[in-house]
Amino acid sequence: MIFAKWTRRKVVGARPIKQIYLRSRTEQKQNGLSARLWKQRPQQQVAVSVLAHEPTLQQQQFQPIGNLIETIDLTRNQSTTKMHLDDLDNDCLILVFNQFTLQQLISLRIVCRRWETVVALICRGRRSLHLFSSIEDGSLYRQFVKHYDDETKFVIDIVGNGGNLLILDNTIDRPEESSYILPKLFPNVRKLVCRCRVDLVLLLQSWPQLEYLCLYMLANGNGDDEREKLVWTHINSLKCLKSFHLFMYRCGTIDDMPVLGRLEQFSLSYYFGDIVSVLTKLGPGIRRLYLDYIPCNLDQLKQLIEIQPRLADGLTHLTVVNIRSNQSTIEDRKQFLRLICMNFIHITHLDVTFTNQMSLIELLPELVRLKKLTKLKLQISCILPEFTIHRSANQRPKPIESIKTLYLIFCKPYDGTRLHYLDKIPVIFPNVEELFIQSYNADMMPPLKTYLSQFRCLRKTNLE
Amino acid sequence: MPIIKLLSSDEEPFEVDVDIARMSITLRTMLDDLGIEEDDGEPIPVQNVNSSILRKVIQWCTYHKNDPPTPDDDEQREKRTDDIPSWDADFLKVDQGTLFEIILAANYLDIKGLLDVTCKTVANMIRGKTPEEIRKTFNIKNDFTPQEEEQIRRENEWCEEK
Repeated sequence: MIFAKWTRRKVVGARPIKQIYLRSRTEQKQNGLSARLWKQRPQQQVAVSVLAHEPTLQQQQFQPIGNLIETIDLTRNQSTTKMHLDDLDNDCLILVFNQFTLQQLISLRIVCRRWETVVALICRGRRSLHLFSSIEDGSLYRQFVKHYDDETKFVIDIVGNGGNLLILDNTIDRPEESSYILPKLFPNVRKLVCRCRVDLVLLLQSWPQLEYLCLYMLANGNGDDEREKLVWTHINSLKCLKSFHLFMYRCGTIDDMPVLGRLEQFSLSYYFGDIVSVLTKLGPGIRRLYLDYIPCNLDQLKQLIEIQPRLADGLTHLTVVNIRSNQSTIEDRKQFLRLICMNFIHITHLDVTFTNQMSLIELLPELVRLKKLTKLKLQISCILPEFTIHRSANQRPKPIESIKTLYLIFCKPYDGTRLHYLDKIPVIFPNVEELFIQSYNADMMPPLKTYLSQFRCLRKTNLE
Repeated sequence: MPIIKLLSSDEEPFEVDVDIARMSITLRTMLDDLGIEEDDGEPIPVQNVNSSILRKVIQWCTYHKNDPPTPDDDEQREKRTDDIPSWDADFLKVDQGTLFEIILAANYLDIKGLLDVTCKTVANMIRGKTPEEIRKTFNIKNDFTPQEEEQIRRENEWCEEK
């Protein structure tokens, strides 16, 4: 007796075979199997016939070929009966349903049991969800996530079409309605972006396996401190959470947050509590840190480095945008950047856009200390006229050779009187291969083509 | 141009340019594995695809033979169904049964472009319709009990625009 065993790729243990009859539980598999089997027995002129679905034979995974030859060949497609949508197998129906947004998809559940099952199959496979409300247009949010450098994209990826779900205003006063059904529909969610009113406690309880959590604009409107504590308790209990992002989170002070010690990625924006006490809770595992619109001065930075020196151990991506301090002297600013450069030596990606401590072109040479820095994002605007280190004649700025990717944002209005700074950029960054330019003012600046020609290693340019 | 012979499930032979046949990943793999570059007398059986559907598939592939490769699926890519080229839209003006058979054939032969466009066509037939209209269009029986249907309706309330 000759046996054939179907493995993922090939038929084994059944040669030589002159004829193979196939059956499998689904039509889809039959199609694939017959094609592959035919390929695998080219020398033997194997005839492959697909047997129709026969319940009595389904149970066995190992089929005696000899016996099968006696089985009636019920090769499909001889029939002339008209096909229905329902005749498509689940795989094909999934391909059709994949053309819909999640919103549309969920509304198809009600058509019939089979469609409900197929929708559930698709939803079960979804790992990320982005919940938002129709009362907020999301443009501000997109503005925020734009600051993430292109490689990071850990928020933007989720904002893509795939996982968007609009939580309608008509249930905004009853957030628990969606919060009950969401985990039932999407039991395997690992990444969650939440920009709407939902019952977070319910969701976090239902998705203990979350690896990524982004909470945006969740102001605690009703002043329910107990509820808020409960939310934090559940966030702290998320054992798999590696990436946690609080955008414009205007609730109370973050106190007891052991979860921070386990994170690899952390974002905080518009937080006006004690930043040092938050950042010192981060552990040595932190790789990417995003801070936005947070007051932080030199003293606080010193304090942070003193209390938690291991913060710098693995940090490779640092985004410090819109960081404000009341320190205005160039020396303070220099110190600030120097402190970062001397302590966070593993940084490869740095974004200092709109951070007044670091936006002076005169400070750029400090970055030479970051030997691993390959990607830099900065804006050219806040150049104070009194600081003219490189302005003096014949003084050549020190090149920062490690940087391969550079994002330049020219803040409007760039008045054109400081073009000497513009000329310095290709000298300071001689090895730039990718250049992203935002708000280049062709009226006030040299023709872009001429300007780009000064970057000797340039391979790719992106103009916004 | 080298030619190969395909044999439909109802045993009608089709002579096809190798380049056109190779638009099917299933056939391409087969040809590569067997080292077939042109007709060697033996037709390649295309199981599960009858002659009328295979003819349509070959027609589609012939028209699109110079298209750039279809990009891989990307979960995040914006999904659009309003971008069906006019030739394809005309080509797919067929009865529902034929359309579904082309989907099955495209899936079996692994022709991504054809599969995409046929699935989009079906999706467009579904889009914008109420559940009742969908059932009527595709002759689907509502097998929910009234209680079950009401339960799902309530569960969907938070995401369905009125």
